[in-house]
Amino acid sequence: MTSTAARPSSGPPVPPPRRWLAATTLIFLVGTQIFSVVTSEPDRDMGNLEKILYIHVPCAWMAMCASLFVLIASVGYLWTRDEKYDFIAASAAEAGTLFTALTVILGSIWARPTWGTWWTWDARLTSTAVLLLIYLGYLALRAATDDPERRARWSAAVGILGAINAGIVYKSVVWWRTIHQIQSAPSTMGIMYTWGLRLNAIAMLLVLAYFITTRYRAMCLERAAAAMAEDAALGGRVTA
Amino acid sequence: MTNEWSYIIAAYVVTWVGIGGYALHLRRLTKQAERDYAEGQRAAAERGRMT
Repeated sequence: MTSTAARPSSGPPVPPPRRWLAATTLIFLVGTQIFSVVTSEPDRDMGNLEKILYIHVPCAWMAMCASLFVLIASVGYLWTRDEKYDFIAASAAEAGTLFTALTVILGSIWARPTWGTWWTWDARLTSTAVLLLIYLGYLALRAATDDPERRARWSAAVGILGAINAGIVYKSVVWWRTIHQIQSAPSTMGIMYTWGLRLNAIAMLLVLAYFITTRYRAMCLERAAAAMAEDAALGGRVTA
Repeated sequence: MTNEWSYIIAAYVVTWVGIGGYALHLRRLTKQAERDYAEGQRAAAERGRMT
């Protein structure tokens, strides 16, 4: 029996699992964290608390990277209406939410013994908190919208808004000179600190890549499974 | 700074709980999606045999 109803799209092709990326990421992350904690000397001003910066700063960079991915994929979706860009944007937004939340929490843990407070309404902290709220709004919007086309369009708009805010986060320490220090340059830092930071940033980039690719694959599988179920209800066949 | 290590340990624990927790969530999500996908393919193949 063949149905005359329109066949549901089975969505983007399902990519293969990337187990090698999971293994590489885990080994690299453990290795770089041990390296940076063991080799770094206590800082003149903040002592051993600088070890927190090996995770706080890379998490902040990954939050920015995720925003960039969300921006590119969101514009890609609005331009092409290809569902795969919506999935990439949503995958990056989920990972971005995690890294932004980690940035805020780790910054707070570092600030308590160095600034003497868990939180202050500094421009960098406030704009990062706004970024986290935008990401949470993005995820809530996706969870609350059933129509895939409308969900993708609205998500893309919120994603672009989040990326604009990420630009404000980046420039906030230059535009508003408050308590958060401005970006450091390698020339102003010790060689071991610089390398510790770079290696941890690469490790976190691998984590981000793993999270985005894994979530994207899960979304493709969910979409294909939903299309097959929908097609079965119509009485036809979908070859996913 | 006698208690500075408690802040350092807390920071690394939070990081690993966050990253590890999300990785486990993704793993569970992917396994469920793979099961649904395989089930859909099996059902489609059975319908194909019946027609």
